[in-house]
Amino acid sequence: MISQTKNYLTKLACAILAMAMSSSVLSQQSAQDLVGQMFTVSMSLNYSGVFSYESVGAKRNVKVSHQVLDGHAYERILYLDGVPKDRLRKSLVKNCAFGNSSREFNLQEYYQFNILGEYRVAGRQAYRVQAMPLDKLRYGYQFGVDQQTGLMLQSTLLNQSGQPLEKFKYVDIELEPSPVDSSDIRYLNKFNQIKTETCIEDEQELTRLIPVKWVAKWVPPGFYRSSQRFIDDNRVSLFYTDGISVFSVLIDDSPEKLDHGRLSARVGPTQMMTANYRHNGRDYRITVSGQMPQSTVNRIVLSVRPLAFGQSKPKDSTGQ
Amino acid sequence: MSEGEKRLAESVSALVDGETDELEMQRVLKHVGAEQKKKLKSIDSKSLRGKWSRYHLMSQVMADTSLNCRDISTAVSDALAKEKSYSSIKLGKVFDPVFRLAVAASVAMVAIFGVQQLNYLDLQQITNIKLAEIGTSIEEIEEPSSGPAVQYPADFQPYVPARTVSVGGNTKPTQQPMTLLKVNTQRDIARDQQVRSLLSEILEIHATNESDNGIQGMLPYARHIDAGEDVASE
Repeated sequence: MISQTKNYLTKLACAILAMAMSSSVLSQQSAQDLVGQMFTVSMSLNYSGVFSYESVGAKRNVKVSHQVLDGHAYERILYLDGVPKDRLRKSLVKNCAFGNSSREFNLQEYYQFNILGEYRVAGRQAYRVQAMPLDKLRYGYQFGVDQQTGLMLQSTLLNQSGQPLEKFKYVDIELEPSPVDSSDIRYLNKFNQIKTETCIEDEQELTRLIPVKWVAKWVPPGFYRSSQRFIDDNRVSLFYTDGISVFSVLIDDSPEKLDHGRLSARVGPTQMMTANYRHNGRDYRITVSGQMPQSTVNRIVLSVRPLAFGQSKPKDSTGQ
Repeated sequence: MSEGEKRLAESVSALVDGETDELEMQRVLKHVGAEQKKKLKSIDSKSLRGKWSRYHLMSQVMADTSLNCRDISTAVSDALAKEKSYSSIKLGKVFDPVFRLAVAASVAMVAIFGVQQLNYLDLQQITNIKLAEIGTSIEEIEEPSSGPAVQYPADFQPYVPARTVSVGGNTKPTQQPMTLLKVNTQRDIARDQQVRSLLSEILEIHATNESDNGIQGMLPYARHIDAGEDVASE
């Protein structure tokens, strides 16, 4: 009788343990999926709302609207506090890299995902999801993900000791039906006045525009270059991401001489560092910016090197 | 034998028997030392050391133990005299100024380091002051860029442990402390603006990259408010 009870209890314990384990694995997986799809969702949905933003030295409320029609995103950003600022942006939804490349980010290798619970944000039911880095090279996040649509409703950036560096949260959000034609686009006449932000995808054109290819020789594991942007004749920007965290590398060709060698600054949660680099008798200024620990940014900026010379071989270019 | 010598001989006898107190032993040893200075040989029958060995001999005879009385004391003391001195007193004397200098240097270093820390603090404050001076037109950029790793409120005053001394005769004692660190040259402001516009450009490019890549939704617009084209709506 006793042994039977014992047996039964053991089985029960095993079952509970198995359930707990499977649910934890499940929540890991689903948390990761929620975060992985969150950004794609926010690009493709139509919505308008107000969010609050808070970081060191900055606190603002911003009214936004996001509409998608024929592969173009129409965004309006209205800053509600301080000096009035009203901005419009028209861009391709499937932009240069992130939209086109089908790169799968191995998020679980660099972050620990957890669903901490459910709560309400901006009047909507949301999952509270935590993504904590497994190394000290990047920051952690806590997201609020809309249960119905998967849209990011909240984001808190956390430093290595778990202190919040910035808080982003929708106060009010309204999901809208997809616009049928251009008449549904708000401020259409204004949007027609501005040019669509695009990117150059043609390799040859890129090579012509960007003769010197640059690369960050060291990036934290899991980061890939997702885009290279030609800004103007003197400036090129590279963009790296691990799927959640991001950083930009900006290369200025023969910049205006500044009387400081290196500049290290922090604006809100964004860490920036510049370094000067001399290549083939030309001065370049390299800048890395991103929501990352200072040590990581410093290490990246010092590793940026020219990769190859566009038209001419590197051997020739290093000559007289 | 004088009275004193008699007492000393008794003391040596007591020492042989192990019945002296500390004070008595010290007295005996003192006399041994004095005798040695007078170069009295240990074999001298009058010397205390002679007595010491004789008394031992006597006690050995009385105790009926084997007579085994080789005196090695002279050899030992000769050997000790020839031994090189390892005393640290001389060394200490030589290095004493060096040690003192080392202490002084470390104190000075702490002081210099401390001043540097203070200077760093001052620079931080200068930055803040300048940011406040440059004023309204670039208010939005100023807001976040006043936030490097260390941040101070606008009315921040660093704590400097120094006493204020009145130099001018007619300074009122109630006068508020003046900000001595205020740097207001055109060049500094120009440079500051240059740095600020550079930072703003960097942020704008970064924010555009983020939005282009569809990362973090609308968040990049919150971080940097100059992304996109400014078209005032009706």
